[in-house]
Amino acid sequence: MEYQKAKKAAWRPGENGRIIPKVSWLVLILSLLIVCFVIIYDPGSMRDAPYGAGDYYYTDLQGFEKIFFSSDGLDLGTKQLIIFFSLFFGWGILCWYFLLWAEKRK
Amino acid sequence: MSSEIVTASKFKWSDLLKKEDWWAIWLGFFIIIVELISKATGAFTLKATHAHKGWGTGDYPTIVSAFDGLWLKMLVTMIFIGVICAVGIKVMGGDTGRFVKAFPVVFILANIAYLFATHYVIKNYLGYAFWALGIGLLISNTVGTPEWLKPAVKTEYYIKTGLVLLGAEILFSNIVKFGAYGLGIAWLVTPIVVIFMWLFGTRVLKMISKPMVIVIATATSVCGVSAAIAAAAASKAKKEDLTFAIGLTLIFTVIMMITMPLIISAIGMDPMIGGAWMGGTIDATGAVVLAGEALGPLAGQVAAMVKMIQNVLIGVIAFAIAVFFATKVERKEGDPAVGIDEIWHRFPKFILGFIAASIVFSFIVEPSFGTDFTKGVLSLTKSFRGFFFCLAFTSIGLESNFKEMAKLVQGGKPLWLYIVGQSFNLVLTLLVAWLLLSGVIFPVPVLNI
Repeated sequence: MEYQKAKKAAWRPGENGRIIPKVSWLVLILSLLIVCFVIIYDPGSMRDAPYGAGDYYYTDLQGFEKIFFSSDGLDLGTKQLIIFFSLFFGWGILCWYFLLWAEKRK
Repeated sequence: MSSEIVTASKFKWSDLLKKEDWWAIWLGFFIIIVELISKATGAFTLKATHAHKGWGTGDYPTIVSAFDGLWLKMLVTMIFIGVICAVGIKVMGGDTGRFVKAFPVVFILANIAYLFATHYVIKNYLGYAFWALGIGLLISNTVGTPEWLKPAVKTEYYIKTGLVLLGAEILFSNIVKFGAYGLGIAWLVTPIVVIFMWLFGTRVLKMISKPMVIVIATATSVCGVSAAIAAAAASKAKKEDLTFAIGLTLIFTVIMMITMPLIISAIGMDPMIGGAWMGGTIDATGAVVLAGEALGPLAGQVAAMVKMIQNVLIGVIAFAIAVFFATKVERKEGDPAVGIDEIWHRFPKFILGFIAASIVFSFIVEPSFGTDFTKGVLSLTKSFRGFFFCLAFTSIGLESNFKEMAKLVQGGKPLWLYIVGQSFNLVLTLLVAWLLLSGVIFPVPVLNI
């Protein structure tokens, strides 16, 4: 039922909009052409780098230890861990309640 | 991920041995323990192996040379993963014989995906997820996935086990590396973007699949493929939902990693702000570091740190999504409030293993044995995590057909969800990065690069 309702609301040619699906295809095809261009011509000279978009998580990067755990690299740290983690969880909880509130307002 | 209806049933102790979620935890922790022993004793090294990265040039110019010195290690990888998965299937009451016969073929297909992904031209643009999905889809939509192969097409089993292993890589100590600045840029923006995209997708676009909305939102705002996998498993999304989210994130990651450094350089933006902006918006971690370093070492380091904080957020966000879907989304209108019992029954249990692995490594392994030991163990567990995800993507491709996927296109709504959400993410992240790092409110941090 819910699936049928949502399907009715979907953009379809000749109903809610003729243009948007066409624009969607155009954007998608254009994006794919750009991706092909980037891979073939390497405009950012990124081909020789040891990592790239195929490394999804930080540990996937070759030499991730040096990039993320280097002792002379970037490390501001914090001396106030309690405040730091209170802010971390506090903001998370605030967002959680906001989401629940927004869901109730349907 | 599943399309099954979630029904409440009483917990039984036998579930620990009969349910796939629990087996994902046991297998994940078994690999973690083996790798801890391997690193602590140095008696053996167990690492999942695939083709040499960067083959096609230099030392490994041909396809055959891509596997130079690796055949035995690949065989060991196949036997190890095959045997532990088969044990789980046997105890759960599945047909181990048919699994054992089919698994080598799925494993070979996953290795072909890795072979494409590691080629020296392709490796920086399209990773194994793209190729594994592509190979699977090609087979299932042309010759069709043969019946005898299906016993080894175990998408959920592989994905959940991979996620438990991913949990070990989520180290809480990483959050503090960039101090309050990193927390502000990564954590202030991320939940706002997720909520914005959720409301936009469900209220404005009225998308059919709610899990698809949350998977795309998480992939956009957190860190692409890894976050999409975690969100899909936590929201029990269908395999097509994950395929769409990953397709979008892969396309736009390539475009953003090329264009953002060019734009930042062209307008003369401060490298620290530029690095933070890219770290908070480009999806894949490797693309972030690459784009950051294109601007210089400072931008590279800042981009990497911001992204690493987002990497850690996967754990918290996956947990929140699991609770949100169990208590709110799966609840029908007019149903009474969901009790603790019901939440427990609906909750995807493997998430507990995912969180537990993160807690163990963040608060026990790293403080007790040091960062060097921890990263040594992670470099071993990550190889198996990658393989389990690659097997999962191959399985998704083998199980999917274009007809089913076409139903979810909905006039391009997933595409517009991504584009609008990512645009909002770009604006908000830039604003917060500028407020925190330009010196208007807080002093500009001094970095030792």
